Amino acid sequence: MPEPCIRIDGLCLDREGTRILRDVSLRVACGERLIVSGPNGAGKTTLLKAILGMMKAAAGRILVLGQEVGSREWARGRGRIGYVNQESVQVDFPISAREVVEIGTATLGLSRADRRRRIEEAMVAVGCAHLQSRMYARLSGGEKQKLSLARCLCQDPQVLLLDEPTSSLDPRSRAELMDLLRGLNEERGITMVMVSHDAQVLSEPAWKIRHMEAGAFA
Amino acid sequence: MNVVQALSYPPILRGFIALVLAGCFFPLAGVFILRLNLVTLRFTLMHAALLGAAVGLALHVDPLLVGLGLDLLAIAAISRVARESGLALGYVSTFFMVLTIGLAFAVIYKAGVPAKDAFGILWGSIYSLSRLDLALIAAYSAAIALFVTLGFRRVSAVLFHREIAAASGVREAALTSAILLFVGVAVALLMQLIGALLMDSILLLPAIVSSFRARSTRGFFLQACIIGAFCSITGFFTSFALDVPASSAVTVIAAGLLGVGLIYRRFSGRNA
Repeated sequence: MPEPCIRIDGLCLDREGTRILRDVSLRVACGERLIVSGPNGAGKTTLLKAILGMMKAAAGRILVLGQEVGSREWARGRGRIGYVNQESVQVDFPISAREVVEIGTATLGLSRADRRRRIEEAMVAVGCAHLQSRMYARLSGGEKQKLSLARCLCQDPQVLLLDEPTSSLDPRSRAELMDLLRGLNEERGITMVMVSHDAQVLSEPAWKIRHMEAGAFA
Repeated sequence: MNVVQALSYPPILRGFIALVLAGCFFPLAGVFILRLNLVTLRFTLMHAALLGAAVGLALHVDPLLVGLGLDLLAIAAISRVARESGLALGYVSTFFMVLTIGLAFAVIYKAGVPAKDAFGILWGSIYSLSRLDLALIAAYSAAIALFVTLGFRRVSAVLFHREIAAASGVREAALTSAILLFVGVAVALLMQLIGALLMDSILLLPAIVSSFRARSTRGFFLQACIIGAFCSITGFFTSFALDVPASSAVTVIAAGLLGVGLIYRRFSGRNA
């Protein structure tokens, strides 16, 4: 049996003295699309942050692409994990759409030409090439989420973690984003874990669904 | 005495060079303050520098160096306490702001430091800079320019969203500490150069005006530097023409530009 892309064993996580995740175990095969659903406060976002290494586990372990989260080897390969956050970021300072995508190349050590090519390819892939010089603050929620995806694509990710990416989108933008994710999964084999309690998203046929409640999988 | 004659005097030449360097590069720290909402931290650093000046005068050590040292200590303490307590930077800064000003007054009283000397740091003087002061300003200018230029993508990631920066593999905590350090040193140096009361004319106002026009983060940084350079150079020459202190002239010009910027913003419909 092939090694899963994400493997979580007996994960427990506390925040300010409260146990947020209780003995969570999970296997996500490479190329799989998984939705983690559940009510607010179930621990879905905390789970994603633990996979990203942003929160320290009280017990258990997490392996991503065969490396233990927090280890030196994992830190070196961290760029292979893309993260699309819960809401399109509200910024009140000048940053262009292209500069937001460019963040995905921040730690890759690419030459200027390679960086430019990768940014352009990523923006074309999500259908945002025309937005390059636009100010990020003036874009719609759907456009911002596409740019988040483009930022991740610059990293050439093997795993994509998405935290309620459709929560602030209208139905049309939501459908476009889900189509985009399906295409990326099928063409590039990117493993996807999405946190959502959006009924429309949960009805997507090709996604496997795991339900979380009170810090544990039901 | 005309400007050319005045510039033949080393203290005035040193002051001019320092003002130009500060105008060109210190607004980069102003961009950090604006974006990361470090205004409270700025006040804390001013108070720490005042405490440093009081301690320096009491011990007969260079007040600038002691102020700089205390600013660095305050930065280290604030970052550590904020990180470990999970409290917002503003709350932690407020605590240190009150503590340092309290200690400053205690030192001034107990050590018999003339208040006039200690508070001299509030208005600074560009013509009283030593060679060491100028060297520090030049070194800082080079350091912050290299930091922003070479680390632009990492820096802009942190300014954009710290969580996304961390998720993208950027060492966000280390970079945030470096940013706080640059802000701390800028405040300490500017207090000596133009004083605490006027430092915003070089540190913050160019960054604010730039934020009205810029459409990208690169443009934000670059325009802040250009506006800062314009304010400091025209301020210097205006001070000679009108026989007013250079720091006042720089401040009035920067405030005037901010007024123009606000009008531009009003009529261009820019909100961000």
